[in-house]
Amino acid sequence: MIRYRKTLLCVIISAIFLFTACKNNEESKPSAIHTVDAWAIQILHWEAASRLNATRAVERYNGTQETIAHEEKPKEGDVFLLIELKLEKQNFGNTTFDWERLYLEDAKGVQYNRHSNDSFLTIYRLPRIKAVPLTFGNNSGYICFEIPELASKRALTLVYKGIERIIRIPLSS
Amino acid sequence: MEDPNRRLWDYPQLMKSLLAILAIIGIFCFSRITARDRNDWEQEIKEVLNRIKIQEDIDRRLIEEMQSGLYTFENPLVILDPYDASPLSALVVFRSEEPLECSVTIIGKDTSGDIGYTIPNFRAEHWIPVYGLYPDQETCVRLEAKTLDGKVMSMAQRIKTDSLPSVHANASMTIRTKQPEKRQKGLYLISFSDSEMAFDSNGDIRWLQSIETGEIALFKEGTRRNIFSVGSTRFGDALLFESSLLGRIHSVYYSPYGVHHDIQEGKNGNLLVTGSFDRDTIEDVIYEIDTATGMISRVIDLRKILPKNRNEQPKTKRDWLHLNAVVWLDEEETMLISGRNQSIVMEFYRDSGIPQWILADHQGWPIAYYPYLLKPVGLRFDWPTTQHAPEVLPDVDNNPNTMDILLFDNGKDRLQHDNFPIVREKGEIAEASSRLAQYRVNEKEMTVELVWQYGSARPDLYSEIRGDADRLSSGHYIGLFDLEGSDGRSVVLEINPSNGETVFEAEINRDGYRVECRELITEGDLELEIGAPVRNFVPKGVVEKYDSL
Repeated sequence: MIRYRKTLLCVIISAIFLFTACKNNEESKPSAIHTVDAWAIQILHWEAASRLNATRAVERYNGTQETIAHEEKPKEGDVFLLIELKLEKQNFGNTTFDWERLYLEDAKGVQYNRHSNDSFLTIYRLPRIKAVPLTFGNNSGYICFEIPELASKRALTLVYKGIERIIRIPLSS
Repeated sequence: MEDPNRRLWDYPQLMKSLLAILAIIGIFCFSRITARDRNDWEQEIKEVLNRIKIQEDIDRRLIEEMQSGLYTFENPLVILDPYDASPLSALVVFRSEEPLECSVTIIGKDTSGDIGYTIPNFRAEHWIPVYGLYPDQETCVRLEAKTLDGKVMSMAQRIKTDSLPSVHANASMTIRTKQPEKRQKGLYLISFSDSEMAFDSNGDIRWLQSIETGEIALFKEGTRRNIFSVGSTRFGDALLFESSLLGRIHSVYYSPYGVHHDIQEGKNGNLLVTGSFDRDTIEDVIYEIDTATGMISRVIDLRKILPKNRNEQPKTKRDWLHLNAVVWLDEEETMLISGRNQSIVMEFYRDSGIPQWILADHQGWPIAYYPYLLKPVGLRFDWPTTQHAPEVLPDVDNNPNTMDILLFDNGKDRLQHDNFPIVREKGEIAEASSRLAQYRVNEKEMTVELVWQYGSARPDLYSEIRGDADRLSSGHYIGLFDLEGSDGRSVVLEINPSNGETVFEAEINRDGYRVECRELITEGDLELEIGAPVRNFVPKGVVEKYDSL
């Protein structure tokens, strides 16, 4: 009987753990639209992820399907903070949206730049905004930051240091 | 009567139930994590259809930028990859007060890496595509503009590209042999299982498409356009789309018969495609798409032309033919096909389906086919086996009765063919090998001769399941040996057939299928037709189906 109780306890703990692990992050709300340097900036969605997983079915020459698993992890103690942005050019001219002007700031004022190479996002079917200065159009997609897990649990603000002014967009849930 | 031994909590039973619930939750959660990541051909079709919609908005914005009048030759708008499909391409936009003819030079790491071209016609509104940027770095691009009275202006731009998408980031080409003065000028455009890329002769990636596409693309040297496919490789929905290397889609065609291994363009502009019907066999159908109407104007069922049961083996019962190539012979009412699982190359009349000749081992044919079987001549002869990519060569022997065919002979079953006296060079017989092989068919005498080959002495290039062979405009032959059987590598080599000299050889760390060596761009890559509606021949019902996915 004791053995079964122990097993039952383990199962319940595992279930709670699994629920927690599988639970998507709280749905974030789109931010207001902020305009700076001819660019309208809006956060559409954000979430923290301790890892990214994907499987891709690849069809081989002989018609067989092969499943390839992908996984991307931040370094220990960090999480990926995925932000879906909409960056829309508002005026004509050669004013660029420059990634060096964009950073994430945590509650303690620590600043984080965009991940140096977040091209892996596309493997996980997350449309990604290219990491070169933007000069044109409507650019929607994800960018990635890698930040300490603790920082991800506190208030975060996306900051763009424009030529004209600085805008601050809180990541709201 | 209540069982006195029955407990209020049946722990073993409870445990099983809980574990089952846990497993279901686990599967559900896992599927949620992976669902949006799943890659399949339906997703690819949906993406292409979605791109067509987005393209309208991109074009509108581009035209608005142009009309703003803010951009000049000295201060143009430079957009990297405006259609989000071609990460190593850009678009330069400006207006000029007087008509200009513009030329572009992408400065390479050395002069062999330079890419240059001129946009045809003098014009005042300039949409200048820039092709051949290096990945993840700044590339210097020189623009020259000539006025009608011959005055020339020039300026330089540095265009920075992004890092390559992860799936392509590790792709590399290692040069083994290069004779710059002897090799054909141009880039190597290679079709892989899920993408296409162009490498220069230094092994640098200079173009790639970020849209996932099927394993074949129409890229041939001298072609007027680039055709890609997405969708089912067997029976099922497939789209064939024509786009510039910048990623702007011009036309889209639909087929319910899938696309497997080959698309060829005829002189009439129509497309010949290999596919399948919805039945017990696969990859034994050719269909023709009328590119003026988008309709499938002809379907040829190879099961009505060839004996399905010849050389039947359990493994290949369904895929009895494995049609992997079709060649459009415009001068005659015939076509050439290659069927891997029958080791057959055949020319036949398009309308009647009657063979003109059959190049294949004589084993297993019904008597009715005997008149069409070519008789081998010459001292040295091997049948092609499990071959790919036949191509008809120009009349190299000035004999109107002969047709020379270059093909990639995988040679998978060659060692099993012992019904014909095979003369081999010393040491060849020990190992399987693949080769580029040139056969000369004499249609009058119904004979075939093996007149040239390369690869038999190189078992290191053995390529069990895929490969390519082409004649270049220089007269050299280019081949792609897919070494998939080992660990996902390919070898591209260019040979001068007159002396057997290898003038270029390189290894790529991916499974390749087709290779072309040509100038990077075609005419269609320079005329972008920004703002023109896409010639979309996908039926409304198909569009709605993928909209709802």
